[in-house]
Amino acid sequence: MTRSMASALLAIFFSGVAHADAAPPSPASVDPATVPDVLVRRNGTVLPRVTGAALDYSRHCQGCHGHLGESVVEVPRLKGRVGLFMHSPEGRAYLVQVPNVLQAHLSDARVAALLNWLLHEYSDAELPTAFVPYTESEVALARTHRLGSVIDRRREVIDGLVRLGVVPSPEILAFGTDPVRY
Amino acid sequence: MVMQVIDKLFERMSRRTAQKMSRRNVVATLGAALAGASMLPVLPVARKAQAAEDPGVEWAKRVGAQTTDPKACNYWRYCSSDGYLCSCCGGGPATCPPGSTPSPTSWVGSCLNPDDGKMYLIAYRDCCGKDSCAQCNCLGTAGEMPTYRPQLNNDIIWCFGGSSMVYHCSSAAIVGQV
Repeated sequence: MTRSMASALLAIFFSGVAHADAAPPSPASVDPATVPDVLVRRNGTVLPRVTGAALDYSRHCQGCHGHLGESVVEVPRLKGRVGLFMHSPEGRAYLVQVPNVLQAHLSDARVAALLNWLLHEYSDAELPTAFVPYTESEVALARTHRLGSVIDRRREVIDGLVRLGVVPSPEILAFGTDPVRY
Repeated sequence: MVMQVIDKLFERMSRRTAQKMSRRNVVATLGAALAGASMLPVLPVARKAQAAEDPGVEWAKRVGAQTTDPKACNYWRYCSSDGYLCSCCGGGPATCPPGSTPSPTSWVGSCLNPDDGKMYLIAYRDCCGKDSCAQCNCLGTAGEMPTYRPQLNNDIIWCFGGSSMVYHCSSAAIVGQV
């Protein structure tokens, strides 16, 4: 009896841990009236509640990639195309190996959650029907390989996707303004 | 009288326990309890205590962050702002002064609002296209990394992607609640 009680207690501990790890449901917005900032209240600015993988995106990616997954020509657009990389194993690895993902100050598990979140958020329609989400171990393995030239590798991966018939031409996944070079 | 009843009750309980339980059982229970105790630090309660180590929280305590004067360096939103405050240059904490334009790229950090004790996401967006404002120079370094990690460094002029790379001042817009 004491033993079963102890295991029940342990089960409670573990369920508590699992609950804490799960991304909390994020309410769509925060009522400006509750934000103690005069300017926010005066302008009626509605703030989104940002948690879990979306918070990691905000703090590590959003500044350049934009909160809508698109920004300036200097930064590769995610919106409506990043999911195309999921159509080949090389593309999956490449997304983990781009320098700011590879070297991000985030654990492999958080990178996996972040990539899965942004793929669905910005490019759900382009994902393969049998899309398998990234796992911590897949990210850990891909992160052990450092790319020599990210631009050369991007070109190889995109050429592979063209050969597979995923995209009709490399320009669709071009980086920046120079599709010939990038 | 009452004490005698309680005494009897406890005697009977402990005798029964002694008959039913082996000494190994005691060791196993103790072991399980110890393993359970080791799980305590990962409970959400303990994590909340660790969250107090956040650099944004540390900054707010150190400078005595306030919410009333956006022209002072210790205004709560400026925990990671490095540069001239747009509030002192004819703009606001989240608006560019006339003649300058907000950069399309920004640096995102999080600061503690001392009034409600909550963390808010702040986009540090440089206002560009006009000569340096040179008013209210403030240096907040919460969560900042060295210059060789440029994506998390605020010494860098964040005007890229815009029409002009000339830096005027730094704004700090609230973009979300953590």
